[in-house]
Amino acid sequence: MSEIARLNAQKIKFCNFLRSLNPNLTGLPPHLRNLTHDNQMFTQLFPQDISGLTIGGIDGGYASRLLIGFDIFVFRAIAAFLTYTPEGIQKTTYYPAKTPPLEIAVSDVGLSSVDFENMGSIRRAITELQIATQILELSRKKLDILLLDGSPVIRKPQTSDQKILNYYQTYLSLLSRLIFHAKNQGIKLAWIVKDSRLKLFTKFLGQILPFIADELPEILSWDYRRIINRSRDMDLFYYLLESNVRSMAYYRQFNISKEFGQEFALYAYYLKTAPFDIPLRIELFQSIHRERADLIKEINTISEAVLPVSQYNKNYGIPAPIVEADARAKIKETEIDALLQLIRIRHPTPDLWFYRRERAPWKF
Amino acid sequence: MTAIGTVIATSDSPSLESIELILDKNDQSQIERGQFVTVPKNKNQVVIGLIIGIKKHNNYYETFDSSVHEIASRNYEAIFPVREWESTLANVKPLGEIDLETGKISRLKFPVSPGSKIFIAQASVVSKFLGLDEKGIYWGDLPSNNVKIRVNLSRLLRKHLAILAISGAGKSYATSILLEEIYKNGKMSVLVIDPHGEYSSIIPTMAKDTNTEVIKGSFISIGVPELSAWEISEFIQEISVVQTRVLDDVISNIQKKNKRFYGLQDIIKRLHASETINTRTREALIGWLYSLQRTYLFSTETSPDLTELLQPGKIVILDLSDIQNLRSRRIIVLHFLKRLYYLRTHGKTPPSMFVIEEAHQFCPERSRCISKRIIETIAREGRKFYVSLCLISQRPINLSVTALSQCNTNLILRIRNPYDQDFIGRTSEGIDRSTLKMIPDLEIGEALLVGEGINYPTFFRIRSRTFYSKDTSPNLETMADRYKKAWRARHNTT
Repeated sequence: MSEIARLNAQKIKFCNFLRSLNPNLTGLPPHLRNLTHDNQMFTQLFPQDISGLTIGGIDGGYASRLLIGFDIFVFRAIAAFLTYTPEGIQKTTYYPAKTPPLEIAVSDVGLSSVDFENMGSIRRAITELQIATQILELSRKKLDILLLDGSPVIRKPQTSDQKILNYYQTYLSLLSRLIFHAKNQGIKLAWIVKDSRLKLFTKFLGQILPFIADELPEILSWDYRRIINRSRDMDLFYYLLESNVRSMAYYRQFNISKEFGQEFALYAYYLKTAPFDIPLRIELFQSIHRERADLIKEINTISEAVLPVSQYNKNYGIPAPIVEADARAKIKETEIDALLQLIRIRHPTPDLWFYRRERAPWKF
Repeated sequence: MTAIGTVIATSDSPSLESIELILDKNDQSQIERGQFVTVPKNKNQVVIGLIIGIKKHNNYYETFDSSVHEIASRNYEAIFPVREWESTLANVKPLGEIDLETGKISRLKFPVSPGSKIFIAQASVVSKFLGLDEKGIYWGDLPSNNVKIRVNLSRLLRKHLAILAISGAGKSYATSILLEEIYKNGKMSVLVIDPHGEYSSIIPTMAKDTNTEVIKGSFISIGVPELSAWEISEFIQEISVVQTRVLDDVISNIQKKNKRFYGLQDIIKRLHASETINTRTREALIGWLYSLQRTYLFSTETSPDLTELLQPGKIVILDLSDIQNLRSRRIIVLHFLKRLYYLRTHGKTPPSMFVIEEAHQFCPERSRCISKRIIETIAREGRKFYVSLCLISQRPINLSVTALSQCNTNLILRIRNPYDQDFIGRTSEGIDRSTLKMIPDLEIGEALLVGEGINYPTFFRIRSRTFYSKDTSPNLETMADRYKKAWRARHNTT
């Protein structure tokens, strides 16, 4: 424990040092420079006046139960749109409804536990994207920024189950459609990752710091390798960033379908919204042909709109539309219990479907 | 008729004791605590209940850990759709089932179902449930259910009534409404013991005939020739049986001399003159009689004549505001109640109600008091002779438990003192804890009627007076001005 505390103390000191330097990234060698469009490691932002803006948040809930012979999944996705005025919220609307019903899916072949997980997460992501694309394609809502909960990056499942692979393709296709429509309609689209265990940025830092040290040799007085190797993005950026400051945006490898004829690249960066909360990871797709300055402007515009709707609690800084959508989409244990109860009532031999642990005749 | 809410399922609701409901968001302004609601059971039967609690809930303001201070410091409404999350929950106490066709009321035997719709109870249903009488005395309203609280006179006054509240909560006002109704009914007679002269102002506006009367304390005299030694001894708490017998001998001697009009002074003279009476007994009797004489209440004749005082529909107010001495007041109360009760038991007066303001002064629980015994006697036995008591008090805890426990109907206005609240809870049948908790929150003019006069404890608003609606008591500054003017006039200053 004392070792962790010692490392943490070093980490804080090192982060303070690096923050005060705010290294310039323009001198990086091309193979690293191409991974980020920012010129500085940190960018100070200024919360934007969001009066007149409509900001949407989309989130999905998911729950599942393993039954004998088949598995059951329930999903619910919802979009909450908050329109702001100088006095506060002018109106709140929801899509498809304020309290949409559960979407139920049944897999009639017993899935392996890995496929069961894959199936659940892909289907949930599909439900969210369906809502998002419907909003852009059908409802034509007046919308300025659309924030989705989580990361768009879902790796291809390592499975032979064709059904799951098909779902994955559907996901990629929906993602392309959404990005295409958002771009055409001028709607800013971003994914908000609440909690992350990635080591993407720490790895990148490990790559660039030796080059930065060429210009700023005082970096070498720190055992930064040890600090970086033993940190994750979130905790390192908790110390590196101050409120209203974002990290450099970093190119993230993720290929999506090209069916709409344009190629998009994914960028990710960290933004600190609340002083005592870990930073948000924000991810967004941009055309690979977009100018560097335009991309930076887009990132800053989105960040400066996210800040005011995330600054309501010094310990918690998730954008309000996401909080609202999350709360609406959440599937309570009681809901899935009620569903199972319904199955029990309607089926002649329901107990044979449930594992023993769920139908023990006593409770200890 | 639209539903106001839906029954929800919680760990202890719906049950036979509690129904939780979520209120419809559209119009909650018509919902309030103390309102009767119904849950349809089938075509002819409804479950009736009372809203005993309302609470609001909002997930955005649920406190957790360090965020408590944040909640207070941040304007959540500027960022979040806070109002979208606000829900109003109500707790209903199920009271019973009522058959809309037959009016039959029965206790609830099975809970209502979650998801059932709840409606505001219709006035006719509430009236049936409470056992109100269309021709009964109109005491007030239950605005949330649009019900007139009309209580059957016989049910209300067949036994006794207590009106309990802190000073200024409207006891006298509520009593004056009752007097108005009895006056309009025109059958019973009423005697009001009024220590502060509050009721005198009602009479002039009420009376267009002579069927009302205000008797000032200074006009009252007790005819000594009408009193036996045993009756006189009731005015003297310390007197012994032996001493009373001696007094009886003295009075008999006076009467033997065919003296029809004599006073206490005559008895005292006789005692002085007697050489056969033990000196200590004589001196004690002289002392006590002398102290009675100093009350100036005793005379050779009784005034007014009590045999003709109470008549059907007549209201008599005994205004004791000009008598400051508490003992004198108690002597008057004892004398009047005893005589009038006697007349009633012999059928010489109509069924009557004795209203006793500041009843704790005349019938205290802890201290000895000469008027206590007659009040307790009437409380215990008056029902048999159609004599009702209406005891009014601002300190029920100081009021005789014997008398108060015989008051089968209580009208309770605002009471703040926790000891008094607790005492009411113990002495009033039918008041449960949730009802008791609502008493301190009552506004002026709001009251709780509980007991035999009504089927279920009910909060209602006392109606406005018909005969007299102005508050006659001037405020402090007006009184000070009046005094100043009078003082200047007396001292000839400007």
